[in-house]
Amino acid sequence: MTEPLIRIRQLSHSYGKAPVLHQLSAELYGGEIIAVLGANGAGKTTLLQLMLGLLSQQQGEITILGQAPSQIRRAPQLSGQLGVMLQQASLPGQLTVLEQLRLFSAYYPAPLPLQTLIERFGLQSFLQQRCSSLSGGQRQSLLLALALLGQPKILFLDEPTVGMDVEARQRFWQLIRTARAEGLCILLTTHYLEEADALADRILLLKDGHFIADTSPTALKTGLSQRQIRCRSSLPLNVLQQLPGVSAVQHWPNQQVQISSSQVEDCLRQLLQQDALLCDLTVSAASLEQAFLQLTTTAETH
Amino acid sequence: MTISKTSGLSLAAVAALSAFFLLLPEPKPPTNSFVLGPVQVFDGHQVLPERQYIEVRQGFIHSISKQRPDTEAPVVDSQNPDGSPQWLIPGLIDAHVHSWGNAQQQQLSFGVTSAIDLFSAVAQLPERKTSRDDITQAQQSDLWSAGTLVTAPKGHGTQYGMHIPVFNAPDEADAFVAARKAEGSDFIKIVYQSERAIYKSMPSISRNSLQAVIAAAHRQQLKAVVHIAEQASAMDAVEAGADGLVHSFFDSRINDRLLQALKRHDVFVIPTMTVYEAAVRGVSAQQVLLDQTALDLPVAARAALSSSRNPRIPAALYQNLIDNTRAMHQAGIRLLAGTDAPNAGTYHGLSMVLELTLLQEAGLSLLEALHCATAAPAQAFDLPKRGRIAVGQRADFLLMPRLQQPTDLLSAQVFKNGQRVDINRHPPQRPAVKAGALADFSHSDQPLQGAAFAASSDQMMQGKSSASLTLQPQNSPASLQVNGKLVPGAAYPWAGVAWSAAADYQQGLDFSAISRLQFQVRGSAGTYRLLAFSEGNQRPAEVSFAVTADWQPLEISLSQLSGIDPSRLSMLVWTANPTPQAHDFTLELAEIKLLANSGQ
Amino acid sequence: MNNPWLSLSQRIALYKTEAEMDLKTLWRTPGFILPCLAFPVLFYLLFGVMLSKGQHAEYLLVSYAAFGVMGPALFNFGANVATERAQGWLTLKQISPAPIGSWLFGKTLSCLLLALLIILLLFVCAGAIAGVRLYTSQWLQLAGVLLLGTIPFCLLGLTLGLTLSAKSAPATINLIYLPLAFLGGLWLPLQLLPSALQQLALVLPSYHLGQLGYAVIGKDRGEPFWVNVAVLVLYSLIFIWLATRRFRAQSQDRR
Repeated sequence: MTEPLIRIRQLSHSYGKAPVLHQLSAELYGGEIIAVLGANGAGKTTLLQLMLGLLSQQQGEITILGQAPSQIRRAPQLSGQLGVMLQQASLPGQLTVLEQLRLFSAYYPAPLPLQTLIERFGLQSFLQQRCSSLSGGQRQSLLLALALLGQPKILFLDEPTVGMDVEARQRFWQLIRTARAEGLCILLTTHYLEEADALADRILLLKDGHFIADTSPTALKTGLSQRQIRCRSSLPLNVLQQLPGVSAVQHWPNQQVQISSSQVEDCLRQLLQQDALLCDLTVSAASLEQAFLQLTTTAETH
Repeated sequence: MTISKTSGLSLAAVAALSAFFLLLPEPKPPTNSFVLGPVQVFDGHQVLPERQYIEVRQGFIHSISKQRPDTEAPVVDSQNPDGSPQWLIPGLIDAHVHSWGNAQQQQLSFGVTSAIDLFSAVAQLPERKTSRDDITQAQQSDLWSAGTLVTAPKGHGTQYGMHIPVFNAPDEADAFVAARKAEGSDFIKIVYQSERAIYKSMPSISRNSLQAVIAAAHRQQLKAVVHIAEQASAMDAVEAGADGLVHSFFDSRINDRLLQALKRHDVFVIPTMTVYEAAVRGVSAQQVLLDQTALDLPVAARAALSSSRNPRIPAALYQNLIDNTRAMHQAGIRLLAGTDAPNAGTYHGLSMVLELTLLQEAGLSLLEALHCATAAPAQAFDLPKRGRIAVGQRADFLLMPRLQQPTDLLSAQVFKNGQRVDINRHPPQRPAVKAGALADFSHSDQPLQGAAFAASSDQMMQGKSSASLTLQPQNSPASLQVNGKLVPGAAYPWAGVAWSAAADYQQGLDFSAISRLQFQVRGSAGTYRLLAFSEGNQRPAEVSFAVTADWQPLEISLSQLSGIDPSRLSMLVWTANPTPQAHDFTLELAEIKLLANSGQ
Repeated sequence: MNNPWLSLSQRIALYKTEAEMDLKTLWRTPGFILPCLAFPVLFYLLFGVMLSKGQHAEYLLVSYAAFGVMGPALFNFGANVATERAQGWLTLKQISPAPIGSWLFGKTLSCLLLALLIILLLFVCAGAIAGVRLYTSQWLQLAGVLLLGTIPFCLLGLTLGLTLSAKSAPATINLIYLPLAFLGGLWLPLQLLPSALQQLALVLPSYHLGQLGYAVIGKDRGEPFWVNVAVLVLYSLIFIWLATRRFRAQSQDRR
């Protein structure tokens, strides 16, 4: 069993009297992408800042590569093993992309060669442009290149695809997956459920300062009791509502119905028996959004 | 490869920067080493028989020889166009001056390389010592100073507005001399008038005090020189052991007894022919200098040298001075050339030409007069390494095409400490006043041009008069009112209001474009005067005007202000005239305007 | 932990690169470069040459050179650092293994080079147009004194840059720069100011920088030079302390 690269134990934090994080604990390993998922204001950025040593710890313990974040800030041997993409970082506008790469490369004794960086992150087409004139996607590509050029062991990403279009986002995700394949531990904060679903091996669900879930997306979704059945059926509403495990039925004038059931297999058997003319049948796994909403609602009632 | 590119760039940058700094312009280096010759040399005592080559090294005369020295030093051309050698004489030494402001620079510009100051403010003494020790300076003459003179309470010297310590009793002598020495005096000057003098001027120390001070000065290794104005006082001074007399006298013809005493005690005399001639006879400046249009004399000099005769002294008395000087010279008494600049009728530096001329008039040859202006004062006051052309002396000398009369000195090249002096005899340009109102009394009692209006009276010169100003803006015309009291008794009584061009009361403004001064006046009935001063001139131009109780317009043409330099007018004073009894008066001025040539 | 992160040659290369990049950044900001270079030169030509008819050309050369070298120091370290902070760029650098020394070195070097350029331009104007004549040693001394004297102003600028917001920085720094120059006697000679202000000048670093410059041409007020140097060193130490505190505090800044 390998050692976790990042360990958080009983981490709590307050701003003045307002508590933000409560007793968070987690262990993160190399070769996995961990998404910290939560609504805006849930404490994701605070958690990241604590881990980066940008905020001083109040209670609890953070260990990164075996050291506290404050130690890491002081030792380039340690801070050089971390790659960071911050949400607000914009670049000094007057330097070109190439110059920025050269400058950052100079911070490391063994950075990736410039040519490799350019190819891998697709920077060729805007290499000589000034940083101030880059599009959002180009800028994020550059920031990712800067984060990874030192071949770090851990990569921190703070809301990295905000403002990107679909294509750029997909390309970005691919780069992240490549990094994971190289053994990095990648910690990503996001409020895009889709992004967490697509990228993450593990999701840490942060609500009201607690981790209310620490599991894979699939497990999250599978753990859900409810699934959706969609079909066209002439069965009347009351019959539908009597099916096993049904919690909700929605129907539309053209006989399209949507049934939410916790016992989908039993429900299906009965449905097919009772309505031989049933057509346009789909059974969908709950979306992460539903999982999220359900979990968070459940969390509230507890 | 990257490193060598940086090194290459750095080297190139260093090389470029070095070139840049080396190319930035430097001041002309003072060349105080050179060879001069062939020249005819008057060495301070005599003319050397053959043409000489003078080698100057680092500001000193290194060698005088008949052959050109074999050296790499630059050669100064000293031949006239017709092939004849030029003349070289030691720099002149003015043995009697009072120096302040830019006097030392002015002296040097006329070839006076050293001077003896016989009374001025002591604050300047340390700087003068530093300057004369500085072998690299060539900006101004070297000065040796008496510092504060020794005079009785309310005696001569106390009337100039400077607060000075006075001498009360003989037992003060040692302490007084020690104090002067500590202040930096190079020698002691004493003002003395014998009780037997017929015309008493101001209070004087007693004969006992005179003896005590001279003895104290000698005990403290300082020479003692005495200011006298009549023969009786001169006799007392010589008997008291004076080393020199800083004036001669014209009240009577010198008697044999005094001649022998002067000779026996080897006392030197500075006749100051120039200042006496200007006051008593008053013709030489005009004849010798002002009438020679070829001499490019500055306007300020012309103004300073213009007629300043004192009409109360009979002009014939000047002959006494000529005869006395002649007699002293024939008796072999040491005479020194001194001008007493900047008193009325004199101009620092330039007046030495007059002094030499007047000494010639008293029977000295030109070379004998030059001796009085070079080696003689240097020897009399123990000036180190000055006054002669000899090996080891400072390279202070004058190089001129001809030496036939004193005015030839004005075309000389001047060398000071071995550097050629850039002669500039014309003082710097002053800003010009504009035609128009000089003041707007409806708003302020301060002038629109110039520095200030201020109440002015002889109180600053220990007089008893007084004046005060009140602004009257509500009048029509708005006016400035002077309330004053004029008390006779001071040497120059006055009370009124003064307009000054600059805050220091010294610098002037350029009035050349102004033709007339216009103002309205009313007040206590009587005659008043407008005085106009220009920079460096002690004596104002004066124009009288009458005042009545009613407003009167007056216009004074600037050409009426004779004897001053309108390009540097420093003060205008409206003053009451002294009457036998003290009197109060009121004077009001309004609408003071300057009018230009084209009639505004 | 005993192996240094970067080898010596890598460290040298990093310092070079930081300096090169900061220089490039400045050079590509005409809104920064042109005023820095143009204002001292224009003021000198106007006041030093034309209006005073060249009478005070030497004195005013020192005045405007001192004024000129303060500019890049205050603005590059002041306004530019405030902007870098606001952009989050500084935070990124703090998290990276970049030594803060290389960043400071880069900025200081570009300030010095810019200051040198200003000095050279003014010297050319002085020598070629205003007729100023100084010994080579004086030209060199003056340049050296002014270059060294920018250090306290770099540090002052750094403290301001770490404190002010990016929006208010340029205006605030101007409010400090111009009065500092004026009250230090770099615009009008000190004797023309009321005596209360003359007393105030004695505590201003701009006054002492000016005096060190005037001493090269023999026109200072006669204080011993070590007094001026001591004051500038004292200010440097104060600003180093303040800047270090601000740096540590702002890295604990909340978002």
